[in-house]
Amino acid sequence: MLFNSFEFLVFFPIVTIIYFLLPQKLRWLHLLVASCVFYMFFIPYYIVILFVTIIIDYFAGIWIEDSTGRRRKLFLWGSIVSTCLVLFVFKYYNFFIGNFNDIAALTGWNYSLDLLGIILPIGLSFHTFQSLSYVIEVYRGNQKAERHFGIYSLYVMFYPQLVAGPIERPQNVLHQFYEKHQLNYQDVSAGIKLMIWGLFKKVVIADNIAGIVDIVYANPEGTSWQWLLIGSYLFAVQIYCDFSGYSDMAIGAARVMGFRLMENFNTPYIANSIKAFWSRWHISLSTWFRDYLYIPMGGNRVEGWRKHFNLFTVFAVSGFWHGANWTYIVWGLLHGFYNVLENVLKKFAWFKAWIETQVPMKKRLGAFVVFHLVVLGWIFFRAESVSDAWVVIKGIFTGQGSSWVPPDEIMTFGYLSLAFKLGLVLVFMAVDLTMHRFSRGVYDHRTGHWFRLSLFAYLAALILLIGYWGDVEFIYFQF
Amino acid sequence: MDNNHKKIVLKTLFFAALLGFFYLATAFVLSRTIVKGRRLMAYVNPMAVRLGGQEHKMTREFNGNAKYDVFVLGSSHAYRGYDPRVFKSYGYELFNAGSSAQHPLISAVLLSNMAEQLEHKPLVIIDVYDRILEMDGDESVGRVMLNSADIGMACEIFCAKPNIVAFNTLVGRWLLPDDFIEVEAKDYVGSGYCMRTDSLDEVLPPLKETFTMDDRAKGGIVDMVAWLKENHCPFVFVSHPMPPRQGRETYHEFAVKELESIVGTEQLVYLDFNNFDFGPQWRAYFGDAAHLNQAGVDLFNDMLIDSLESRGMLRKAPM
Repeated sequence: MLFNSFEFLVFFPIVTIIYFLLPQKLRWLHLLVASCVFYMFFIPYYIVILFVTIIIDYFAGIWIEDSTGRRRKLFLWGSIVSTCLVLFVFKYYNFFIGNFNDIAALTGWNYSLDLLGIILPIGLSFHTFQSLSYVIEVYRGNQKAERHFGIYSLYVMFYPQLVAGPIERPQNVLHQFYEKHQLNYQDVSAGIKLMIWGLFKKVVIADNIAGIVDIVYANPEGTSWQWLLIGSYLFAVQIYCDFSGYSDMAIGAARVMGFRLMENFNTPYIANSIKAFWSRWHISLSTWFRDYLYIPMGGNRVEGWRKHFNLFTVFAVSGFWHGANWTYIVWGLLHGFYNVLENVLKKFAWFKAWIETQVPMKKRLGAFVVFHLVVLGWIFFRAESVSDAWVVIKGIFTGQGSSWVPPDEIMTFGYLSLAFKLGLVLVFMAVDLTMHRFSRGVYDHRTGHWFRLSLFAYLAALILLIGYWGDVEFIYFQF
Repeated sequence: MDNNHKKIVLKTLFFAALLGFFYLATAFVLSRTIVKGRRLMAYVNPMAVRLGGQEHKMTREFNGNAKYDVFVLGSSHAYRGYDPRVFKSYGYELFNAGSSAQHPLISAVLLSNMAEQLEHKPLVIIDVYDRILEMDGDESVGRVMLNSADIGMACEIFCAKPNIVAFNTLVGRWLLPDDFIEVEAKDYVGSGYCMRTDSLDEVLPPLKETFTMDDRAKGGIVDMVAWLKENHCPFVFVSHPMPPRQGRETYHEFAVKELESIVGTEQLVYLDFNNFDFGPQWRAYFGDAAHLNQAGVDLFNDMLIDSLESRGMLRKAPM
């Protein structure tokens, strides 16, 4: 089920009302059933795959806790390997076989392996990482193994964050399923506001500009450099609104029922260093990689080339996590390179002073540079292939077919419609870049009650009227 | 109910009232403000459909007191494929209630609204265009709803496929300025029919080799057949000719099988011209990859009338 669907508008209030009407002892069951229904709206029988990983990690958690020494490690690795195996089969098998076949063809070796005709289960990478986080934390002794199978299943399947995160840690979430949440005005109000804001970002901003981006990236050779650049800027806005919009809705939906999920975005495009960007973008994934890959590899305890290698590896894996395509790997490597470069440059006093500056103008200039580096990365992320991405980059930097006239397909609805969409993006970005101020005003009751209520009612009306209500999935669902 | 619960209920009601007010006020402004010949809504709502065109004329031209011998339902292939003038030359009155991408769900609503009004129940031709049976019907819902002459029918269409897009269109229909249209139906001839005279000159790519029938399309067909039987209304499924291209027969076969499984082979009267061979000059009979032009329509309608007459299905309404 999509958050941006009519079904969810019916599903959410019903599930929430029943949740508060039920006695505490039945609430977990209600949420689990609701989460199964939510998941089964995509491909119903794929829930079996989800339960296979749940069963593996549930028992692995208990066995890890109950054993010592080598057996403990064995259970941990058994769990990690088997959980990742599911991910490998569904997400990466065809990628490796495809590359193998390509190499075989290139070398004249007349041999090819069959690809699997399977569809990637929705959100597989997200719940795989959430499951891994559980067994690792149990292994580290930071979390007691969950003995209640239903509660553990709910930890993996909790519907607000089931298909696109935030990727939670067991310490933050598991105990909340045992707590009795009262229907609370503050939670309901804050949760609904977040959901409205998230939905606005998704259906009004992201989905409205998705068509322009799709047209530009469908034919990069035939598009002028100006529109390649505009399309790439718009994709930066689209992916941000799409993904952070989903996260806001997930966090908001959970908050209405009294659950607290971790923050996933924090105005990333105002970051004035790459490190700061990654502490503001997809925070739950960045911290996952930091805690479970970067630090175990040595983290900041190692120096020199080893530290650079670790950073590079983490970002390459992060790219591969996003998708089984060379475009994502190049995107990850590019961010790895940015991070290494930033670390190297930090040795120079002028650079360190620059990124740590508190001078507003310098900070903005830094954010401008970082934003453009990120956009360069997004070109690989969005393009169909690495060669397409290269066509886009080459087109922009060589001034391909200079023309401000939009491609014909974009002009279907005329200049006024296009102007409206671009205007909407500019207004949104202006609001979002000052979001820390905006949110203080809106959320913490400094503004009048009437103002806040009216603002969100008006946003909701705009969502209904000018939102794109076609069948558009969230970009991150494919991961 | 404690104070906390009361506060939530009251504020929810208040929020809903504010939302309703803002929604209607904004919809009113967007529907009533005309910029360069179009409602502001058409510029800002990505799923807004055009006001005017064939559907606007067709729904207003339909006369519930008239005596039609033939009533056609279907997509643009219907309103560009069954010419009332050809039927008239054989002595039959035809009304073409086809509309853009008309989904069987909408056909069922049109049938129960328009054909219901007719005292003499005509022969109903349900045009089958395979691609439509795979579609979700949103385009069809919007077009007919916004352009319908009767707000009651627009409400029925909303009930047939309730969603946010349809709700916006329904409200838009309600708030429309009087006698205003955004686009003319330049090729509209009359009785719902639109004529095209150009010839096909594009290269046709192969058709896909899979077919997934939309469940709601199935439901629409079931509803139509039930209504037709209940009202003792003769009906026939017809597939108009399609230009030759790779995969044409295979793709069509999928749709035919689905249709047979829904209606049942014993009850199905199906005149299938899909694979009709126009000969080496076939391009001269098509306006584009899927629509006949007037030369094609003339030929197809002659064959169809012959076929219907030979089956005794065409009958004139009593004077």
